[in-house]
Amino acid sequence: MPEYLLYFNQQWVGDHTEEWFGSRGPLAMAAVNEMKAAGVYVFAGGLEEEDGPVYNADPTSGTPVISDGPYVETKEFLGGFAVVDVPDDEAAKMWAGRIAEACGWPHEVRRFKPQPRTSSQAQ
Amino acid sequence: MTEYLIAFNDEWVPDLTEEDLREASTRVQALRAEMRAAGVLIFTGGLDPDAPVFSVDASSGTPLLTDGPFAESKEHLGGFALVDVADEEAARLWAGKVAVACGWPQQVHRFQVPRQRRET
Repeated sequence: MPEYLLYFNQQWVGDHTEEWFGSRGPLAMAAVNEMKAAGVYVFAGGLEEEDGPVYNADPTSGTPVISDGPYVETKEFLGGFAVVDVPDDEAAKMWAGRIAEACGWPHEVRRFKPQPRTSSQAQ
Repeated sequence: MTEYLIAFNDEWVPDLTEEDLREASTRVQALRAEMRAAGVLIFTGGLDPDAPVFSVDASSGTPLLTDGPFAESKEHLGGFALVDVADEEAARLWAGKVAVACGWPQQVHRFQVPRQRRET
């Protein structure tokens, strides 16, 4: 089955109170549990924000050079995502709606390229 | 164990021949096997730049689905690896390996904890 990325950029989250964010956690967890129960869940997680470590690995000189900070500064950056394994676009959109509703902010849906799967990683 | 994202944007991929891409794909598959053997692999995938993009905005209370990206941006996520490793040193090590296997730069971010653990 094709895999889809349901993701949001940190800049789409919006300003909310601590209390509001606290109320979304259980809702997001419930959506993730629904994905697991439906057998479509691959992964879900939120990235650490500005206080988390960020580094980059550049191999273009021949040996990998690891340095601190992003490879490129961008106005928008990834906030978090879920990866789901579903039959088609319609199912991906349905789960995107479910997770967006739970989180309370917009999400975007993108499909992964098909690739040779050699493991149990997507089960 | 801590989960890390090792990701690249499409814009960081140099112009490659079909041959270059095939070689990169072979290296990435070998690396995936190495990650699995080391017990650090959660997921790897490359996004399809030709696949349709959808967005969903639920800020009105009900999810509103539209075709196309939510926001136009200059940089686009190209693909990533998700790893579950002991520490930052290990994350750096695997980021270096992913960068070498692909042949283009990667950026590393840590996931928040606590979060619901995946079921394995």
